[in-house]
Amino acid sequence: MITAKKSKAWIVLIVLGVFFLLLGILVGDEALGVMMVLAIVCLVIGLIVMAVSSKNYKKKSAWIAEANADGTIDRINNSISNGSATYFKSLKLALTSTELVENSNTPFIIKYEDIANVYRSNIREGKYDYTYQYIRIDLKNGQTVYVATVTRARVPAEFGNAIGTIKSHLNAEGGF
Amino acid sequence: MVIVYGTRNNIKIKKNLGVNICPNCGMTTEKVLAAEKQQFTLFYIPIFSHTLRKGLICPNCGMYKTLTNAEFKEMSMN
Repeated sequence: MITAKKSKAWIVLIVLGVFFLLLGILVGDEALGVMMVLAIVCLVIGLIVMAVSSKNYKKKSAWIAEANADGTIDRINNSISNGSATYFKSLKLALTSTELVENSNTPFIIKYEDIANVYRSNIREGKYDYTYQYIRIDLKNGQTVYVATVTRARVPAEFGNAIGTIKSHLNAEGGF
Repeated sequence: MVIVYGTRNNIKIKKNLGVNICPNCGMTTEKVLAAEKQQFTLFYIPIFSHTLRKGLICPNCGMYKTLTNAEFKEMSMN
């Protein structure tokens, strides 16, 4: 489903910070200094993660509200729930019969009619990437878009399926 | 004492094999014979390296066609 979700990672970090703080107090003077440092590190990282996730949530919510002005997101979500569209959870990618939706923190919609070529790529913006693999989409207007970023060490089976599904939709459009 | 260590990969291009059509991206590009090496680093200084794989690489999409040692030698000789 195309929705804005808040990350909960910061809660774990804050809880861990409080745990170290209490542990330091319980153990006593000899461990208090180390535990205080660990607690402060966890709390600071937790607060940073909270701020970033809150910012991303607001940004994505705004994008969804804007894209849904004409009911696009509701239509896509209905297509996913009734099975006429495919949602690849591990890739954060939704494929309907007419468009592709990247459901990351910076979401966007691409219509199949605008796509010139699609393939898996190890190169991003001219540089060979040793860590990640992408689905590269060359648009008819000359722009290049990268979607479905996965680590090269663990490429999910959905990755190949997603490329196959996009290609079959492009073949159906008659433009590939 | 803190020891900073890690690994770093790099691709060494051995030979340009001329214009070819990549089966993955479908682009007409200059296919190259390359070896991917992994370096072990200590305090960001490369200590030793070993070859991870050898093969043909597409400069557009980065797809690798892994070759055996014999195939790689033969191609680099020609």
